[in-house]
Amino acid sequence: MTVSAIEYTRLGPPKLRLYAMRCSSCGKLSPWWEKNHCYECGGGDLTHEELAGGGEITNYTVVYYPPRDFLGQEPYVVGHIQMDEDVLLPAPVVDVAPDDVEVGTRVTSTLRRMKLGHEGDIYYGHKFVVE
Amino acid sequence: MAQIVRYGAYLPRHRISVKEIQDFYGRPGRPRSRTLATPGLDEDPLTMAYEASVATIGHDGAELGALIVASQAPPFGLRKFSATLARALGVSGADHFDLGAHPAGLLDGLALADALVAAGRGPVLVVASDHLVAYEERVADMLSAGGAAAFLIGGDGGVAELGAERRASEEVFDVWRLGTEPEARYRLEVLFGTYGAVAKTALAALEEATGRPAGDYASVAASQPHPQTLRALGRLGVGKEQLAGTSFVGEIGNLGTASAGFALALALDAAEAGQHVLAFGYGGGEGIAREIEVTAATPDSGAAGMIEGQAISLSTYYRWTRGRQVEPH
Repeated sequence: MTVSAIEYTRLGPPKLRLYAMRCSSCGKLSPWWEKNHCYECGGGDLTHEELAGGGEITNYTVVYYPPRDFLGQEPYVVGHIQMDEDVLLPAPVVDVAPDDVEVGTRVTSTLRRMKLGHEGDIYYGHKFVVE
Repeated sequence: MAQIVRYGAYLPRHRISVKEIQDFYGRPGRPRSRTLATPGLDEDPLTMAYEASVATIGHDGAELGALIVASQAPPFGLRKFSATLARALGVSGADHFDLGAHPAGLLDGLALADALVAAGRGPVLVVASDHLVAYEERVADMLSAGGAAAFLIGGDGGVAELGAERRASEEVFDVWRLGTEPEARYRLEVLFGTYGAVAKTALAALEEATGRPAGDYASVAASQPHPQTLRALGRLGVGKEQLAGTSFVGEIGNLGTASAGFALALALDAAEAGQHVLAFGYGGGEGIAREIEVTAATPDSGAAGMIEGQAISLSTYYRWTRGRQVEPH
């Protein structure tokens, strides 16, 4: 079995650390996937900055019919997390019943499996648990 | 001797009733464990090791000299578990060591950490994390559950000191796996017999070294692959009260390599300064006994509060165990 270079290039390595992108022009943080474009000023010089992991749910939905990579985990919560460093990240909120989640709930990040890649490579990423 | 500076533990929150599994497969007999601590589909020994490590050192591993990970069930082969965990923890500049294929790997890790600290290469984070999966009705024997424990070992400023260690071993096939087989083979009667035999030899050697018989320890933190193994310790002079706070296999199952670690976290949580704790690891015919002296008030890792968990249905458990077997899609 060989590793798909196309998939590896598209998804990148596992996200073992939680980070966002700091704009050198305006100083604002953008989500981690914005490598070349600041959400605030459109600046193109962004650098990695690690996040402490704490945040608050500002919005959420409950997924009952998940995409294939998440089958077996439904129902689960996906929320917008306002991080303490002032950046908004969408992420699953796990280990909690959907009825126990509400806007304003404090959460903290934790490392979890995100998906099993096309070639069996494991993609880890950060999900959130209720504090 | 090196010291345990801090420690932490992690159990997945999901619990499946072993009686339900036995009823489903028509297997008679009293369940050997009430439930099994079952990792979710998005959990594996790496994520559980991360949780226990963060509970121990937080998100900052910058000062670590070394990281040792023990697991029988790393989520991937031919890759270095400890290095991936180090990257997840943000540990840089530390040496990483993998210890595998042995349920008493935590005790090996503590011995290695002891030597590294003595050589000036500490502090060392020793992590044991496991989920040795068994399928269908065999899980009623293997009691496959998951969990993790982590111990930060340093030269000073600790809450407990690592004392003498003694080992004993026999050449047996009790629990083993051939090549790339997905689950273990086992002979429970060999496991029970060998556990008792090597424990007897190792505890006698430890008593000779320390002058303290097994019955004199405040508590005993032992590998517990099956409730029957703890009865073997009872025949060696370990009292029920010494195991009362550290025995969990009858409640949440066999945590594999993490078993002795989780028991040690429970023992340290309940210990007072001046007391001695006996740590005993067993796996593959080898028994490792180590004395640990509590030197200061210990922080509460919250391990006891993790045992209860939350029930999941048999159908969810079945989907999850089958899900762990699926080929990449």
